[in-house]
Amino acid sequence: MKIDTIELSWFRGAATKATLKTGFKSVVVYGENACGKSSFVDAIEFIITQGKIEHLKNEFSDCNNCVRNTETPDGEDCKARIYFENGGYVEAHVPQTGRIRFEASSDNLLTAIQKWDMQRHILRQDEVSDFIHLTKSKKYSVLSPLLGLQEYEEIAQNMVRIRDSVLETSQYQMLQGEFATIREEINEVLPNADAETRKKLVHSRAKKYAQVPMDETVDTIAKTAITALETLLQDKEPQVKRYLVMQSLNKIPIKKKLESVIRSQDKLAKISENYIDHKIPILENTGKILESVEDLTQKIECPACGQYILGTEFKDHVDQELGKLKKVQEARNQAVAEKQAFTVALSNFISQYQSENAFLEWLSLPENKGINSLFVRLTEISIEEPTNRWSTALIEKLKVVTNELCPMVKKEAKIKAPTTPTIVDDLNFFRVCLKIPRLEQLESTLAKIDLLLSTLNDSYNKIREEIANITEQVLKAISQDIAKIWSLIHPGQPIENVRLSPSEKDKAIEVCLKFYGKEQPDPRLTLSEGYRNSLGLSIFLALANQSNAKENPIVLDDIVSSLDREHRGKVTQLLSSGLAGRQVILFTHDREWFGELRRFLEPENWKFFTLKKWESPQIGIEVLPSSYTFDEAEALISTHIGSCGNAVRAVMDTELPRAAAKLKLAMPYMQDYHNDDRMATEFLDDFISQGERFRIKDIAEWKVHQDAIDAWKEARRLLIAWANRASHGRSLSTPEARTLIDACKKALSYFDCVQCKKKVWALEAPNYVQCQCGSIRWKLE
Amino acid sequence: MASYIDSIEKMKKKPEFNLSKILDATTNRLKEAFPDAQKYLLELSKEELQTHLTSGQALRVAETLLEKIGVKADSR
Repeated sequence: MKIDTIELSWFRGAATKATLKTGFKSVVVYGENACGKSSFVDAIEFIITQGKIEHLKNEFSDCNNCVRNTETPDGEDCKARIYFENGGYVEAHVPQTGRIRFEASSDNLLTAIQKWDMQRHILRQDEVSDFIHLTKSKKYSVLSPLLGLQEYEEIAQNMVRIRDSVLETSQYQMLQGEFATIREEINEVLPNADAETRKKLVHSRAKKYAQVPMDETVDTIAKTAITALETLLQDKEPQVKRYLVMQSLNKIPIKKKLESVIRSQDKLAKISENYIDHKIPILENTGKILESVEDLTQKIECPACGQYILGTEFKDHVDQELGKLKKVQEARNQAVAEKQAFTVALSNFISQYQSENAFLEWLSLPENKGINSLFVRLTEISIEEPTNRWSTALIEKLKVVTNELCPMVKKEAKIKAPTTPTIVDDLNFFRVCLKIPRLEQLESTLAKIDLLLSTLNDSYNKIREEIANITEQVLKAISQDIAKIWSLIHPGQPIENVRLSPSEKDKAIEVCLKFYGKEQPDPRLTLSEGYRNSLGLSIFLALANQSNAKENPIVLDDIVSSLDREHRGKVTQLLSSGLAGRQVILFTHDREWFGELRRFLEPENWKFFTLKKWESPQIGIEVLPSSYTFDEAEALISTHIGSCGNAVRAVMDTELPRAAAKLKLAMPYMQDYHNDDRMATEFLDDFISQGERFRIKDIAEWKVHQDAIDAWKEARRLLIAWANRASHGRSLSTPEARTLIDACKKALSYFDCVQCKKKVWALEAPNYVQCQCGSIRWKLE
Repeated sequence: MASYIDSIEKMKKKPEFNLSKILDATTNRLKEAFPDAQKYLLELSKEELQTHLTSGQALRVAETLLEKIGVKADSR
């Protein structure tokens, strides 16, 4: 969108009004330092950036004060308005106090203008090489909009935003921390076990304390074990007592003793003998009986067996009987002893069993019903006196109970009572195991989040990869333009292959070049300030031609100040190539270059302005009309007579080279840039010296146009005498100024035919050019 | 001067940068495990992901994705 007019009112250096009317053409604005050139650039920047001017930002936070002319009258607002080719306008309105307003002929226009990228539209003198001096990542940021990758960058950033939000919302880090802690705890009790192994190990250990099916969850198994263990811990004393009682009971061999009883009683049963305890003492006293017997041939009744035995055999018989009875007695005594022993043992057994309430409580538990009933049955058996012969029923009862009970006691006696450390260890084990479900849940949750995060990361990386690919391709294309512009400004110089290159680091761009055939990663290493500036300009111009802004103007503010004459000339060529049809608004304080631009840039595409010397805030910026004319020079006599000489010379500097080009005036070759640096007087020299080529028709004869030659001589003389003096010392009197203007007007007037009013080069023939009516002619050589 | 302009234009016309296509390729594992989540991401890629997401919007997207992969706030 081309700019038509820029109007400033009390903005920066402007007073009531300063207008720069481009007429949609490119413009060159010349002005000495402090004439107000930058005020126009500031106005454009101020509007684009909605009230910010980069080079003032550090000094002024209050833009109202930084852009208002210091002498703005009360009640007057500071304004900058830009008209565009569609007739619309945008305006910055800066009141003395209050908010800055931006207005436009339409909201769309304001939005569109304020979307302009400053760095693609305005290049200032002190910013020419800024791009080169930026960090690689800053270069990428600057170029990112130009590369057309903002939306892709936005997408990539969105992926990051979503990933970060997933991390935040899922409390991922916290879950990871919790997972790590639990995993460490579980690994300590169940090292390197997978889920299945873990369950098996937990179940195996839980079986010590509780019966729980394997198909229960680990959680249930652990909980059941914990309940059992807690009960166990609470009932630790009965368990110990149980163990101790069982140990004691097991040591009492009632079963063995009962077997002895049974054996002795069986043996006794085979030797049936009554009254043995009576018979033995009698037999033992038979000696006295024999002493009282005088006739041993008589038979004597045996008190033991009642038989009559001869006196002589009686003693042997008594001894035999006594021996027999003693054996029976011995057996009987043995049986009694066995019974006694059993009785004692049983008594101890029962006594032990009944001695500990804790043990009885243990017995009373439902799971101990069997053994308990045996104990009860045992106590209920009435034991007879050991001296008595025990009935078979009794023996049988005892046998049944002891046969069942003793193995159980023996078994129980082997089950040691758990110690407190064991219980505590196991309890801790199962308590840790209770966390297994949480571990598994966390594992699953984290795996899901990991999958999501890795997907988002993969997507982000792929997007970045795509951006890098596109960046590389676009930079390659842009680099071709930079190289072209660079080679135009610096033809045949050993600095080549100038290009933008994506850095290995993501989101970074380097400026690279070859210096005398050697690759340089950074232009700052080898380039002088002037070369850096022309490289910066090359980059700016290449980048400024981005597709979505090619209809917009580019503003160049004193961009060649660090370039020498030769390279300024190259920039002139560059500008004359048209920059792909872009509107250029160029400001320069270089009068010489301004003259050159006026000679070389086509008037159809370019307009030229001069700013008057800035005198005071009240007068402000004054823009001279688009092109110098003698009328304008005359106008300066009354206002800025010092500038009048310059204006006249500017007219001649512009018009004479054009005439020379059309008439193919032969000019001596000059070294380097001096060819382009000729002044009006030098052209006049050559016109005068080749004056014979200029003929005027006198009836049928072509005569040398002596009047023209004389006029050129006079103009040359006065330009040297007065115009040069005026431009250096600004001293020129009004009569001198008028004489100078008249002489120059006259010198140029001879290129026009007085008859047909056409230029002498209106018609072209093989050997000459002439006016339309053929009254004046210029011979071509 | 216009050579790279043409390049950019060509580049923009190329279907190289197709977000849905990129996501289609990078979300295979997600698609296998949580097809709804992948579908949701692909839907987002048509419009929402191509404009700046505020932190609130990004948070909502994250919550939806977490829900679709079965990681609800109450189960965490």
